[in-house]
Amino acid sequence: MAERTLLSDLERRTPAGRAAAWLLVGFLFVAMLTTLLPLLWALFSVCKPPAQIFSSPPTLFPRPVTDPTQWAWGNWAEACEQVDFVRHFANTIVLVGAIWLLQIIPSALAAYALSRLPTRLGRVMAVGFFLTLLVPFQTIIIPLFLVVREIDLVPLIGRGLGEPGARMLSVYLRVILPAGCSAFNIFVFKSFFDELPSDLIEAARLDGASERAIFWRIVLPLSSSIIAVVSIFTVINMWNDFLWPYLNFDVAGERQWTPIMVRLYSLERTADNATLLAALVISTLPPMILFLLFQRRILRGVALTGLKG
Amino acid sequence: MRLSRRSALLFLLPALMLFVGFSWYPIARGFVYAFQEIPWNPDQPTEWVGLSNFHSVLGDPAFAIAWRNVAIFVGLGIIIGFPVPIALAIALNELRRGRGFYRLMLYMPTILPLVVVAYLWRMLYRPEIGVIDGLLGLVGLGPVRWLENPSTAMLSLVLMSTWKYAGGTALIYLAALQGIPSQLYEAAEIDGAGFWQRLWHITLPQLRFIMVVMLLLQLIATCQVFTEPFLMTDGGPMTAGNPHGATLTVLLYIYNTAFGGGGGGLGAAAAASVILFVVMVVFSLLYLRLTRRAGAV
Repeated sequence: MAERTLLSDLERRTPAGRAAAWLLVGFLFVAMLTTLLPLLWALFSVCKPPAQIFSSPPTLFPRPVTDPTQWAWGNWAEACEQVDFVRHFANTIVLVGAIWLLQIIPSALAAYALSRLPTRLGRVMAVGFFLTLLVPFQTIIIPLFLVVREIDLVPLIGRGLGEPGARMLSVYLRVILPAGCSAFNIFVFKSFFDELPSDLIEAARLDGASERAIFWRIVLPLSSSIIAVVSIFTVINMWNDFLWPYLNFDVAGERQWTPIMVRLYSLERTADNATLLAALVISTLPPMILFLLFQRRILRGVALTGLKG
Repeated sequence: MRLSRRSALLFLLPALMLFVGFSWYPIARGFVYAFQEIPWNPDQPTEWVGLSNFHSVLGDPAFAIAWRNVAIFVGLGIIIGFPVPIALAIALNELRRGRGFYRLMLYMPTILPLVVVAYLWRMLYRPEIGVIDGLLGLVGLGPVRWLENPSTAMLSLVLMSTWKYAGGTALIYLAALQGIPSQLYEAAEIDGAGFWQRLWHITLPQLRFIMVVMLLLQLIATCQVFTEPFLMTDGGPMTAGNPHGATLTVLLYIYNTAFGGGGGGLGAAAAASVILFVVMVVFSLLYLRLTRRAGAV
């Protein structure tokens, strides 16, 4: 049986009810067009010569529409010429991968401890983590920037790794380490661990399993669904992140090994519109592919992580 | 069943180290920086300057303008961005076919990089020859010159944010809508309530709690808007009446103060951050009180 909503199934058979239902569909259809048209415009405009990107009246498709062989396909190649996507994607993947590990593992470990430590100490720690949720990252970005710039590995390992390598490692650590503080993840994981059946864990303990083994072999595998959801959101958000990497690379004067979003910022100053559009589209492919691959998990996870704000 | 204290501490250790180094310590240090003059070169010593950073920030008309702009962003966001996801969710919930498809399409902009969206929309907003002014021209309106017009620049950013985030917010409302018990609608129908009466007296009141939550979250998010004006308007347009720019936000002000050559420097930026910090904590506590009382989150 279908769930009952504003309009009953009986009403939907009356003319007025049918009209109302169609009106709602029409509204959604317009909303969907508004959502999609800018994206389609971006996609098709990459194949336009500069004069067609901005024209009055505006056009969606390159002209002549019917003959794609005449479209300006060269803009894609031009973007790949100007932006070393392989390199910047690789940089981004390294950053995102490290941040992902750091957002999942310490948070899960801490959440497990908080979940199984119903003492005063546990509560004090939980409050400590919780208070950081009250202050959005952006409000402490200036002090954080000043704190992390003291991370400098050059005197430490500059000899062995070479000065440029040690410098880059330092910049990467500056970007990565603060991202590891995710009180949000700790509480998502904790509320999940609180619900795990304790007899499984109790049984493992009776069999003589260590706390570490219980965590890695039992708790984590049982939590794979929640870890997957949090991971997808983390990876997409971190791929898209701009301000924090921008500060630590561009503003700090480290212009090498930048992630793709920071590269787009510098590209925008030099490239023409078609090239920029091509680069924008290409840089969006990884999060878009992840979204399409994991759409079910993502849409189900929204109610959970949407509250992250 | 509980962990021994020693193993619990071991489990907590990695997170603890991260939080001490990159959350608690920088928060505390921010309050120290606010009273110091901090040279750009980290090798040079900092200097205590008392309250002078606060004096320079609070005496700076641009700081007041930034807060006013954020208030305008919030106001426009409430008028435009707030109702759209509610309407979308209500419509989605009435769909009998194709709901999954619409949900997917409407959610898509949420996962796009903000940098990409900002640059794309700046092209769409291009005066006269851009798509939006072009479409308005077809029906004899405009050109509005969206981002270059001081009276529509902030509106442009709000419209873009609505485009990007409405679908994601709609899914949260949709989840709440699906929790409304059908008996409520059936009982109302038996009492002769029509479509609008049911909408007004059942659907919207049932969403009230999540509406307030979303409003507060929107408020908190708006106070931190940076990337949109940074990439699209650089805080402008600047006019004789408002030389500091119609889209200068608080975070953009902090950025300019810290890193823009003419600004008050890193210490003043830290002082402005402390003020923003305090405001954010107040909003967050409000949010917390609200969600705690309702037993959610």
